Amino acid sequence: MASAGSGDEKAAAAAMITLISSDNEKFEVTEATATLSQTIRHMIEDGCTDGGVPLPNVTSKILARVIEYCKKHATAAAGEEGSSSSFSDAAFLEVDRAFLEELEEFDDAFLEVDRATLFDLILAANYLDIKGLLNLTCQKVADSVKGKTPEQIREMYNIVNDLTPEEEAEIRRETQWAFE
Amino acid sequence: MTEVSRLRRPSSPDAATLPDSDDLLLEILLRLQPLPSSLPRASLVCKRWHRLVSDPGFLRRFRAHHRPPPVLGFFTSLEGEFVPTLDPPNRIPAARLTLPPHPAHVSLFIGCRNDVALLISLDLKQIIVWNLVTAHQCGVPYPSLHPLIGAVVRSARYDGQSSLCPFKLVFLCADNVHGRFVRLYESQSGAWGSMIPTTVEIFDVFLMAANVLVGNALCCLLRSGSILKVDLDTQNVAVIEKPVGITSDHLLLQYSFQILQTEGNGLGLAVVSAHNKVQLWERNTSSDGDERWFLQKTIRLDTLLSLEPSMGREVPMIVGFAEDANVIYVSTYDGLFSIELRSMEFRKISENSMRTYCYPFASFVAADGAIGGA
Repeated sequence: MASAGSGDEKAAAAAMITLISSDNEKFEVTEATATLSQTIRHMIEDGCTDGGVPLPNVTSKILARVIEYCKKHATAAAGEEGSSSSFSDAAFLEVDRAFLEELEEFDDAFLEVDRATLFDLILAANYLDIKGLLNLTCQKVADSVKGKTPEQIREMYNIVNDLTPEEEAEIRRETQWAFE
Repeated sequence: MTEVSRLRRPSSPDAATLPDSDDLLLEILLRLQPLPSSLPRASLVCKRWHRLVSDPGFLRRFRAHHRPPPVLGFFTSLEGEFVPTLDPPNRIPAARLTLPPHPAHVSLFIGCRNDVALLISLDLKQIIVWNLVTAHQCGVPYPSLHPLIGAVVRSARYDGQSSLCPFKLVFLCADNVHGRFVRLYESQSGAWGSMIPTTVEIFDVFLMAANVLVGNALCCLLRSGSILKVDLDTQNVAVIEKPVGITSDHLLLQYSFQILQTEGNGLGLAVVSAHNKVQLWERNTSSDGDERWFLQKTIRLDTLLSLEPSMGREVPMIVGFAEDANVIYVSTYDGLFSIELRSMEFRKISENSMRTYCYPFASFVAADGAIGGA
């Protein structure tokens, strides 16, 4: 898409930051991409990014995915800023809508991962303080238990039922209709 | 389940362990569907989940995250019978939301807003305000000898903790001395305000009138299709004429008009016209500076709902509107439907048509910390 391409060009001119994963792999990213992470934004503001930003809690496999997410969404953020001045322009709104749809498709495809990876992404999003990614990944887990019984939820997530039979009976008694 | 399987860590091929951090688990639980069964089911997973979803702070965040609450069903006008509209396991039993029987009590159900129902008790000569979630009730003396129509509005955002949050009542009344007038009641002061005169005629008032909160003004439909608008801030009372050229071509006029709150927080009006059409009007300022009605959209019910040709059968009726959800309830010869006005998504609620006005009930119920048996 045209707007995505121009966003990338704009970003290329900006300052670059090096991120270093726990297994010592280096990733060059633009500042616009990196600052989707509040944690990194603060480090840049404090001027402690020279020589790269070590991220001892994030593996290269997960960091690559996180960067993929940030790149896409940084472009989206740039697009939004550009369009706000011509809000009344119907053509622009049309482009916006198409781009939002594309972003949604990207997010859906991005979430096609196994549960272990999904949880690693949640931990990384939390550590790096990337609100959008945390929301996206937590929502995916919440959606996965939609319509599931407590037994099915335990099975899916390896949870041991430590409620006493009395506690279970009390919860069921209070909200019997929820288990029909 | 046997004792052995209860304690064994179950595993499925793709089973993975959730993050240990309570904060992260909370972020996930916060995003569970806001439907009535979600939190009870989560409570039954294990002690940790039970503890997290029972916490008042979590419940507050859950309600804020998912606002507005889902529509769980509706109450029928006057009788106040609760009809759940969700499928199991989210179907709240009617018994959970039924007023405790009171043998010497004749009361009419006249409205419902934000978890609070409004009834008129004819024998006690009281207005009854009833919190449907906490089951707390309170009685307010009549504002005049003949309260005609009224509504309840919350004064402040409900924190889900107090048994009955502060509320306002708005009533249109009549008596021989003062004619017709509007009076407001504030639960915090516990007193009715002064009488605000209005020109509305008694024959123009519906007992079952639907009222809708538009911004901070309460709008009530009148028999003529006009709208009585009471500004709750300025206490200004005005009558707004219906769109020019609109006539009702059937007798059940109250079901052919429905006041709406539009997306921009403005006043809207849905009008059922002949041949299964619903027109959506919006009140706006025209280029010459006057307020006027503008036709926004016409919905063809037969096309949308795939209705058979009516061939002189009953005309569709709008029997309810859920304020925050922006959903109208339309009764046709083919059953009762809900239509979300923004997306035009619809659902058949019942095979039977509905011949009485309905007050939708939207609530988090289970997230209000007051779930439980009847």
